[in-house]
Amino acid sequence: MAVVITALSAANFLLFRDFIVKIDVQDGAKNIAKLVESELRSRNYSLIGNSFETAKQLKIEKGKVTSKVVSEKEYAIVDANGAVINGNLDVMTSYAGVPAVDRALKDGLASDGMLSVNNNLYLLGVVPVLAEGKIFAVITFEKFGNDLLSVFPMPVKAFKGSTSIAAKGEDRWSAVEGSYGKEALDADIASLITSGGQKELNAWTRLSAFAMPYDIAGGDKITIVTMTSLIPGWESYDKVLYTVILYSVIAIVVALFFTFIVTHEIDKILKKLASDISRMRVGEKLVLKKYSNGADIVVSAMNKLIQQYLEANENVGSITSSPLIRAEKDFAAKGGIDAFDAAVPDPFATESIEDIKPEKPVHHEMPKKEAPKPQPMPKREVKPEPAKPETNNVNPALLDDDEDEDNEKTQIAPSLGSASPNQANPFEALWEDYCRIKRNHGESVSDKEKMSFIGKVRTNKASIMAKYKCSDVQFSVEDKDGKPVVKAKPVN
Amino acid sequence: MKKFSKFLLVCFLLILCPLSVSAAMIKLEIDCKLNEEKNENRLDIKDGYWKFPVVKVPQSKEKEHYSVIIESYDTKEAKNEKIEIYGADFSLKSVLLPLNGVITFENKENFPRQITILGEGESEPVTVTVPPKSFVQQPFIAAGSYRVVDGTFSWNTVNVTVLATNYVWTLKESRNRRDIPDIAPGSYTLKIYYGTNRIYSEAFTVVQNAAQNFTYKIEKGKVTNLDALSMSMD
Repeated sequence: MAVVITALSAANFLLFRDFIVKIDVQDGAKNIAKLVESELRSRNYSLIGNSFETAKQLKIEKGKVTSKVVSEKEYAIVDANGAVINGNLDVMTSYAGVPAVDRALKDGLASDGMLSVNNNLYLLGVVPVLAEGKIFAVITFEKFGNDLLSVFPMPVKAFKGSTSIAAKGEDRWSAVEGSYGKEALDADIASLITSGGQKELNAWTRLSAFAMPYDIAGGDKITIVTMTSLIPGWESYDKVLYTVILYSVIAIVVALFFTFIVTHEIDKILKKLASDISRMRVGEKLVLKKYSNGADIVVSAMNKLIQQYLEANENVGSITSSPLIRAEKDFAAKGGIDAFDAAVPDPFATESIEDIKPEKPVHHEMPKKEAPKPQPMPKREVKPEPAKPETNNVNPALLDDDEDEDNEKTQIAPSLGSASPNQANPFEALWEDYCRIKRNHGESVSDKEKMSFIGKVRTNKASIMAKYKCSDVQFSVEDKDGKPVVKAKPVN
Repeated sequence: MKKFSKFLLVCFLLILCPLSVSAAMIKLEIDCKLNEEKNENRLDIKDGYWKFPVVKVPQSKEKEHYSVIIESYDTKEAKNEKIEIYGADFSLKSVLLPLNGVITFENKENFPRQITILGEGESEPVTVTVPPKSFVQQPFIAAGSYRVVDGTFSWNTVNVTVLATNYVWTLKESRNRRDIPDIAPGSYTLKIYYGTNRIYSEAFTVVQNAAQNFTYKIEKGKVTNLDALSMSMD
């Protein structure tokens, strides 16, 4: 079983990996990198838009801004020399020489750009403005940092040259560093910064890189590296592998544990069954409810066999001439269990036992329940020879089924071997009452029915004795609604 | 009578000579017409940025820069240049500096600026930190070409050419005149630079008790020696 589970786990893992790899054929990593790139480009575009909005508010007189400027983002207004004349961001006193600003002041172009000062990187949107016949420029700033990268769902790192300046998803980067190796990861990233493109870390994790627009004449190359995982949070190949192995081991242990439990339980039940069988006397039966896990089927079959044995014994008056074999043959000749059940009427109504009153109170392990009212005594009582069950005396009327299972013993049935073959059958009188009631109501009774009736009474007697922990059972037949009903009364 | 006549002639010549001839002196006269720079050193870069034409900006190009140097002439004049650092820009993009000249770097910003000076053929650059709103003076004691790079904005650079001589005369618009009376007799070379590029060279010899005139005309990048044939390196 362990081998099968391991093989299945390995096969599952390989299929999963193959599935993931096939998904990656759709260029997921590349597309995600493009998504990041377009988002950043779009961000730059919005900065230009903000500069246009700011420029619309400008009124400049004698080189000074005289209007109130409202801007959603940080901004600066510079004159033709690049010197700041207004703004809400104190980065530099002049932006002369910044390529995007030069494009605005010298070429009249609105453009985006980048500025890196004091370890801070800013995205710029710059637009030129003509006022009083002079050129000015409005610059909108957005700091490039972790906040900007936080809009992306995947882990992202930004590099200025080869220096990391911002990152998103540090924990996942760390996880990859841990499994893939920090040096190997750094080498791959360095390669991506130089040449761009993609790198495959494992079956489902990719790195993609692109460079932000930058001024070729100089300036810093900003490279964005994205990590794409088709199973986010599980970028570590080793982690997945180890987890699969761990789960397989756990599954194997659990399977072994339950296998042990089940086999141990079955072994225990069968041993108990064997023990009970070894203590059985001739004519006794096993209590079906006591067994489970397949042993109950065995007990049921055995009880049927015993029943047939008893009936066969009655027919021949002896138990010495291979009764089991004869009973088995007779049983088979009658069509098996189904035919047997159909042939024997069940004169025991459910209420017949509930109405029974014990003759003596129970004084051992007695549930504290109110005893039912006593019922009228039957007209005739039959008291077969008492069996010797190894049970405690319990008032059956005061027990419920759960308590029964805990206390009941196995075989309780009168042994034919202990009775004298010449003694009159104690159930004959019961049978006669039964027949009398049926005849009174115009029903016929056959000899075959008598055999089944007596067999049923014996069986039920054994069951009742076992169930109610009594030493004997008194049976009586009553006429109830034109039908004979057998009532049992445990006797201690 | 004959002796007296010779004496009077000598006295007359002694009186007249100072008026017409100086001992070991040269006179420079250059008529210079400065045009606008042809190239602003700006490139149309395809860098991937958004670019939208918005306004037409009147172009105001810088004037041409010409300088005259006399090699082998040692002058007592000190020559300093001042470069302001503001924004991502240097106030000068190229400097022609005499030997032992000093450049003063003045930082106009609120944060320190680090500038790197790397001489041509040298492997170890000199790094100078200019404090905020302050200045640093940097002497250049060896002839050659230097590249000054702004540590904050790597595209912001200055090209410095340090000459082997310490005489540099920067020309202005229209007529430029200069006398060099204390020049020692010997061989010299007069060179004219456009920015940091030499465009004209002429060797001459200074003799004892003699005066020489050099008259030139610079127009549209062409240097014309009005005393001789035109020579141009346009």
